[in-house]
Amino acid sequence: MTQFRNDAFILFIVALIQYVYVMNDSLAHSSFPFLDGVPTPVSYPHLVSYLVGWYISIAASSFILLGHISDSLLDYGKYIILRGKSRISWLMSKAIHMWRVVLILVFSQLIVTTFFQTTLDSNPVLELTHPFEGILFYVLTIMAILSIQMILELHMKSQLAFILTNCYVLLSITIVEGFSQKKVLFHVFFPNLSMGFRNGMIANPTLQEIIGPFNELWLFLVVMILFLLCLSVIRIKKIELM
Amino acid sequence: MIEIDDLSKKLKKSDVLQNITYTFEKGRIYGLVGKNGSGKTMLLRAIAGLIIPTEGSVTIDGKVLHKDISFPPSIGIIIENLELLPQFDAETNLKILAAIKKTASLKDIQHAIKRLELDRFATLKVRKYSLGMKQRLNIAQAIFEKPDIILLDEPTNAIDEKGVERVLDILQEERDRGATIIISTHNKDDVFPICDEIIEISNGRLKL
Repeated sequence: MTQFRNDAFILFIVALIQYVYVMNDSLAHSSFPFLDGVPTPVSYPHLVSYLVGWYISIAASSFILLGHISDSLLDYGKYIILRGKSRISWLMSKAIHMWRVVLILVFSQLIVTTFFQTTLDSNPVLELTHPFEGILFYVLTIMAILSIQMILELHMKSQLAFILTNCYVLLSITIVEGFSQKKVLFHVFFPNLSMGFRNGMIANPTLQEIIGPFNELWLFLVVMILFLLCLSVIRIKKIELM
Repeated sequence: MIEIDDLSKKLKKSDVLQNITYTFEKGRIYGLVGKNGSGKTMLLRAIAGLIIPTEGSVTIDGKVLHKDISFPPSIGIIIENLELLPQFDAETNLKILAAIKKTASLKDIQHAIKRLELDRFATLKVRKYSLGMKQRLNIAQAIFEKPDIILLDEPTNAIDEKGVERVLDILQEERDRGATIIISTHNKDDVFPICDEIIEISNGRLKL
């Protein structure tokens, strides 16, 4: 419980840092800047600036969950897992913890954003057309990213899983640049779907209407999370706890 | 009752367990004796459900491991090199573990600590424990929930002579309660006096 409180505190601080960082640059943002992501096309200096602003929270949640699975299968973790009902129930408890981390992150981001925008009375430049859907996509995308990290941790060292997951996220954002008309790329490199600039939530003439409809997108993300969870269940049933 | 049927385990093409068939009865203490690398620990891991058999099965009270259940439902275990959380004292460590199954009360935890004569060090963090004290706490961890199956890998390691006597008394009390106890050791002299049966293992095979 103490560990979870510490994680929640760190995530709140991350949300704070992210907001201050985003508000300090001179770029245009919506009312929920953490949902904006990176516009496409974009010049390199702007790409870096937008990317860092979006990526801070993803990296933080990924880092907080570093070793969440693989370390628990070693040493002391065996005393825990043996006292559980089954391997699958143990894995489900880990997945639930991941959801808690993601929801606390997003909740912190919402609180920080609302608080500062109310007290500072700042007006966002860009219009976010569907904020609720934007938040939903954001939550589902982070969960899918962390699910990739989870399954990788069941196959390799936690540090390697962390690096591979984060490389995939950064590659996804940058590789789509230049291929923005190909809708399928946004599904293969799904971290793009969390970005208002890329999922059609923010008016962006080059992409508007291209990736949608929204129902298809959130269904895709849910299927992706369930698929990764199923793969993890198959793996945990076969894993040797040496 | 633990029934092992034609159990084999291969690791990287090497046979660590070969065609093991044996039945462990309730309320008995078994001594599993063998040299280093003979397969003692691997057999304990197979019974605990920590490894998946290449062939054969382990059945606990009629339920097949990895088919009907993932782990024995009531088990206490010591595996080599496993330590509890060093930043906490003994009671906190056991409380954390007790919170998972919720079958042991605070009284059970304190009783287990007292049985292993660790109550004198109630406020001491585990990081300040000697090797012998850590091993005693490990034994407390394995018995405090009154499990049906107790698997102990080299339980008397690092414990002094008087401590070994105390541990053997406790294990006999656990047997009288009805627990099945399997002790793996290379030091026959320590555990021989209390074992109801001695099983020798060599190159992954039981010598019956």
